[in-house]
Amino acid sequence: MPDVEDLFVEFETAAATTFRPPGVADAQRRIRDRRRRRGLLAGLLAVALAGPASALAVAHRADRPEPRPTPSVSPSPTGRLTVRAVTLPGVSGELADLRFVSARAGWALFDTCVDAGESWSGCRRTVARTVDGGVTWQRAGLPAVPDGGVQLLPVDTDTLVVMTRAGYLVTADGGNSFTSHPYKAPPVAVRRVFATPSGLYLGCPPNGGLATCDRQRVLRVGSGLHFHQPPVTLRSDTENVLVEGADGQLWLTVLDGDRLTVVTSTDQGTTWRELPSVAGARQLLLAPDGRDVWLVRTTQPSGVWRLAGTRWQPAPALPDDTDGIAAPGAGLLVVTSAYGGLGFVTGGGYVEVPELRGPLRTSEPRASVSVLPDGTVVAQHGRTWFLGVGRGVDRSWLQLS
Amino acid sequence: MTPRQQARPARDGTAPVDFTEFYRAHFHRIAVQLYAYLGDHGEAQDLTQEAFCRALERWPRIAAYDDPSAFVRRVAWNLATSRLRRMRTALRHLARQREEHVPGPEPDRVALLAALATLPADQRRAIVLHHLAHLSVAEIAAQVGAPEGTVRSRLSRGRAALAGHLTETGSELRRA
Repeated sequence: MPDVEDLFVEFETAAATTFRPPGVADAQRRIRDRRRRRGLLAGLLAVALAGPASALAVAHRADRPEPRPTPSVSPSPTGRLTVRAVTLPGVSGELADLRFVSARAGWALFDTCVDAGESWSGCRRTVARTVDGGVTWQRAGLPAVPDGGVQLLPVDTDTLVVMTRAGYLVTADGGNSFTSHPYKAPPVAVRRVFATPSGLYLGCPPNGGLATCDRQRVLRVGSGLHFHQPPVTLRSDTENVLVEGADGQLWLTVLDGDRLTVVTSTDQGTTWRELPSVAGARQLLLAPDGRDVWLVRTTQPSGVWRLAGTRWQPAPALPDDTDGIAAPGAGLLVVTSAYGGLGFVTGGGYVEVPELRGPLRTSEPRASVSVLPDGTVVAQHGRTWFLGVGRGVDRSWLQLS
Repeated sequence: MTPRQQARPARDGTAPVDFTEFYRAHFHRIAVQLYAYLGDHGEAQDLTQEAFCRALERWPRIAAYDDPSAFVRRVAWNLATSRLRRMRTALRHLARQREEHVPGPEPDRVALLAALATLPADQRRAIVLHHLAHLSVAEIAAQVGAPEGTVRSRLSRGRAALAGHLTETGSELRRA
């Protein structure tokens, strides 16, 4: 068999010479053309809405050299950011990962080999837990971890799975003690990491593996195959996601190519109902309380649809620079910007969180955002984490690093 | 702003980056990665150019990043991933390669492209980012938004499938 590494080197050398970069002038031309088109479209829209005077004003904006990345920015009503350092006295290593399960409870991983990947040896790993929102941290009794990658997979305040090169280390008592499990015999806690609150997950019968089969099924933690399977095929080459809100309603999406299928169940999977499809939708977002259900597409042109009864209603578009997105409830979407910053998309505008503008606008290329089951917003930017505690746009913010 | 104009100094005090130099230095590398991922030469070139356009539009900000090429690479890969989702099947994906209007690829290139085309998109992306973009597991995980364990699994399964396919292809060639 040929050496794969050599093949890639040869491939890169040979293929690179076949490209003819169109050049910077072509890039400038593309940008000019795009701005002209945007201006024209905006002008036509303004004619329809408010007459020719505003059309001229809007179209003129196409000539601006640097378009503002986010529309209608207004400041958050409460500007509070508390900065905390996550440290553990006597423990060496950097903060490598931080996983909260609620506004108060979370797990931290300290590692003396941050960024070393699998190549370093003798790394020391320490896990700590907080139950007071990151004010204090207690060291967990993690046994020695073999060299190689380590990943935290939290289940709840007391239960954590630490995935290592050798298998799983699991605590169910808040970190006081850990049990060791090989990959071939994962404990129930590993299934619970990926399961909905009522214990359903997508896996592979008969052993319940997570992604080792051509066709997944809806399974229940601890009891195998869930009796009523949804009326969709869960292939390994489609993106299949199962989520559940606090109201117990299940939502299953299958993204096959450019088609997103959505089925839902209000009786824990006894019966399933397929919702109308929406062309262009890529992802379903569910607020923790289960009340807000959205379909979104974050690539340009972006799209947002909100579920109203049994129909998807188009909603105002996302800011052009949307990167990460999640649904915190209260009719909002929370988004991170590709250029730094975080804010909330409301009915027709964008409410930026000004206290995060600076901390998120650093050289790290990406900020992700998610929402915890209690509605807390979590943003990660490199090895700095932000928690937004509260409801709607009215939140106090905590920076942890 | 013109592309020759210098961006404001980076926060860490390093020299500002000139867009034209940046474009020359990074275009080919990113285009090759997308070519390996998509198997379509024209599409790879077009998406790479589009990614650089987006960087040029925001150059004052992006030039201040420690590694502006990471931004362009991420945009290019996002575009490629979106584009690939529109391709229904691997057969269609292979058929597109035959429509290329570029000099005929070398046999090894064809073999590698064909082998890559048989991998699921997630595995192919991990393999290309690792072997051509030279990203670590953690960097790939950050770029694709997947846990590191998942990336390791994709790499491992992808390499095994790739090796199997290349061995098979080699045997067939030898038999021929």
